[in-house]
Amino acid sequence: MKGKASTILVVSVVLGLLVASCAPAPTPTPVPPVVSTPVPPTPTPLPKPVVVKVGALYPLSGAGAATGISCRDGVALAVEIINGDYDFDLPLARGKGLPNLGNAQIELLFADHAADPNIGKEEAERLITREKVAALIGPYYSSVADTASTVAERYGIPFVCPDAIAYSLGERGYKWFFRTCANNKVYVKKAYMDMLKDVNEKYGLNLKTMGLLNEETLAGKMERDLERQLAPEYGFEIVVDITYPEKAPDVAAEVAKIRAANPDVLIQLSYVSDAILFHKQYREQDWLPKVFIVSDAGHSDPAFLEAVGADGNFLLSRVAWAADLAKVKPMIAQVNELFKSRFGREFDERNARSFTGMIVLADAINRAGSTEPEAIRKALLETDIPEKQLITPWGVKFDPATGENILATDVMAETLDGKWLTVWPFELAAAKMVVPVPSWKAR
Amino acid sequence: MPPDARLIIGVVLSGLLMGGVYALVSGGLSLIWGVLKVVNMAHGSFLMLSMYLVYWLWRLTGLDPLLTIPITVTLFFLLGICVQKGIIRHILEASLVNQIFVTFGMWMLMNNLALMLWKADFRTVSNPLVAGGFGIMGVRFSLPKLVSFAFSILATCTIWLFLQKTKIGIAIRAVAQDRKAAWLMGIDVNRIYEVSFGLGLAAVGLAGSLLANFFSVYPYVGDIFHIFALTIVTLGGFGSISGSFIAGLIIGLAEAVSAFINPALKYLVVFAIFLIILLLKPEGLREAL
Repeated sequence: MKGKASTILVVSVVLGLLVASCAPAPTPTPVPPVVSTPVPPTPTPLPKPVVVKVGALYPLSGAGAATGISCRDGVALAVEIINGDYDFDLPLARGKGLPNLGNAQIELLFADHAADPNIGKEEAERLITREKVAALIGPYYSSVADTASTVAERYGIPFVCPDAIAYSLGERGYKWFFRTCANNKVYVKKAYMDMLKDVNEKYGLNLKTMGLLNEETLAGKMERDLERQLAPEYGFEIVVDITYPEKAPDVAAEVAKIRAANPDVLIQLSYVSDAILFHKQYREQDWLPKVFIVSDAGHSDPAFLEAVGADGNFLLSRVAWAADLAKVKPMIAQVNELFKSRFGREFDERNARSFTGMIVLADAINRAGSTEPEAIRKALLETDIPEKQLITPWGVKFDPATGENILATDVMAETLDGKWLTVWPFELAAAKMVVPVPSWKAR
Repeated sequence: MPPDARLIIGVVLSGLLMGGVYALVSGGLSLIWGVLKVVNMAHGSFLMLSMYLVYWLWRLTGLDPLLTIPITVTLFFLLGICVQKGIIRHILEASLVNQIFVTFGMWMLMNNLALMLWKADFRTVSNPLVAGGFGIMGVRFSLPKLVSFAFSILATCTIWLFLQKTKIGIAIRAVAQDRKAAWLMGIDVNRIYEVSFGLGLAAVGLAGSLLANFFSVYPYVGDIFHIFALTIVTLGGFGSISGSFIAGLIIGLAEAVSAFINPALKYLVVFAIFLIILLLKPEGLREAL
C-alpha cells in the first residue's frame, strides 16, 4: 500500500513538473526583493575596472547551433582584436583594450538560448543580475531578441543586436535597444527596390510587374507585407502573390500560376527543400522572370546550389557582407586571414555582422569611459562610425527614436558560375550583374 | 488552344501524374492492411529509408536513381520479410491500438535514427538521367513525373495480376478474406504474411527510387507522403489496390487544382476529403482485395 502511494506521489510530481515546464514561465522577478525595476543602479564612484563584462546570447545548441557558433566566433574575434594590439583600421584595434578605461580588457560571457525565447529571457536576466554585465549582445533570432531585449530594457542595460532582422523590434520604442544590421523593412526597400530602380535605369529593362512567392511562416509573411507595401511606391504592379505551406510534396500548380501571370520580377522566400523543388519546376515548365530575387534563406544554403547546379545561376540575393568586398576594402582580407587562423574556416555574413556589432559596442563603452549603463547608452546614441572604418559595406549611426542603424543596408549578390558575387551597388560590385536572366534554352 | 485552357490542362495533368506517385506509396500500405489487418504507421519512414538508399547509391557509385529500381525493390522486399518475421508477427493478435503504437514507435525510431546518422541536411540527387520537361501544344509536362507515373501504372498492374492469376496471389487474397479458413485449407499463413509485407515495402522501395529523382531527401521526408497515403487508402478502401490507385489520382488532382486556386488551400482540401470520406463512406470507393 505504502509502495503504491509513493508511486502515485512520484508519478503526480513528475506529471506536475512536466505540465509546469510546458506552461508559459511566470514573469521573472529580480532575485533580491529590494531592487525595484526601472531605477538604474546608483552611480557610485568606483575605480576604473580592469575588465568589462559583456554578455553574448547565441543559440549554441539545437537546430540553430551552427549559426550561433558562427556568430559567437565573430564576436570572439572582435574582442580579441580589441583586447590585443592589431594594425587594422578598425576602432580600438591599435593599442590594447579600452584606452579610456585604463586599457581595460573586455571579458565575454556566452550564454546559450537554444533559439528559445523563454531561455533567452532567463539567460539575459542571469547575465544582468548575477554576472553584472555592462551590456548584452546577440541573439540572431528575432523571437529571442524580442524577449531578451525586454529584460535589458527593464533593468536599463544596453542591448546591441547585430543580427536579428524583424523590423518590429525597432518599433517598440525601447531606450536600450540598438540594432546595427539592416532590418527586413530596410533591405526590402534599400536593397530590393532601389536595386530594381537602378537596374531599370542602367539596363533599360522596363520592369513593371512583380510576383511574390513566400512560404507561410512569420518570416515569409513579414516580407510579403513589406513587399506589398513598397512595390506600388516604386511603380510595380503585383500580378501574382502566392503564400504556400512549406515542405509541400508538389509545387507544379503554384509554378503554373506564376507562369501564367508571367511577372517581370519574382521575389521568392523559401526554405531550402522548397527552394530546390520550385527551381526544378521552373525548368520543367520552362519559365523564368527577367529579374529573379531570392531572399537570403533557403537559397543561400549551400545545399541549394549543390542540388540544382548550374540551374541556380543568375539569382540575386541580399547579403549584409560578402568576402569579395575585399576588392574595395583590403581590411576585409586581413580580418578574414586572422579569422581563418583562429577558427579554420572563412569569414561569412553571420560572423561579419556579429563582429561589427561587438566593435560598435566596445567603441561606445570606451567613449563612455565607464561601465555605467546610462553613460554607455549615451555613447551609443552618439555613435557615428563611417563605413570605411568597418568591415561591412555600411557605417553605424543610431536613430535615437528606434535604436535602428540609419546607415544600415544590404548589398545584392548574384549566383554566377555557382558562386555568390557582389553585383550591386554597382560601385562595390565584384562582378558584372547579368540581367535579364537567360532563358533555360539559352544556357 | 487559348492560354487559359492550356494552363488548366497542364495543372490537371500534373496533378494526375503526381497522384500516380502517391498511389504507389499508398498501394503498399493498402496491401499490408488488406492482408495483415495492421496499419503500418512506419510506412513513410520506409519510404524515407528507400530514398536515402537511392541517394547514397547515387552519391557513392554514381548510379542514377532510375537504375537503382532493381536494387531498392529487391532489398525492400527482403526488408519487409525481416520486419514481418522480427516485429509484426508478434503483434498480429494484439489490439489495434497496440499495433498502431508499435508501428508508430518504428516510425519515430527510424526518423530519429536517420536524423542521427545523416543530420537534418537536405540532400538531392543532382543531374539525374531524367530531368526537365517538355511541351505539347503549349501544355507543359514534367519528365520525371511522367516516368514515375508510368512505373506506378506498371507496378499497380503487376501487383493486381499477381494477386489475380498466380497461386500465391490467390492464396494472399484467401488469407485477406478469411485468415482461419485459409489456414484450414492448408495455406502457410505466415509465409503469405511475409510475402505481403515484402510486396508492400517493395512498392515503397520503387517509390523511393522514383521520388529521389526529383525530390530532396531528409529525415522527415516520408511523413507528408505517409499522411497523404493514409488519406488515399481511406478514400480508396482499405485493402483495395485498384481503389488506392484511383484515390491516388483523385488526391493528386485535388491537391493540384486547389493549389492552383489558392496554394494555402491545398492541404485543407486534401484533408477535408479525408474527413468527409470517413464520415459519409468509411468503406471507401472499392471493395478490398
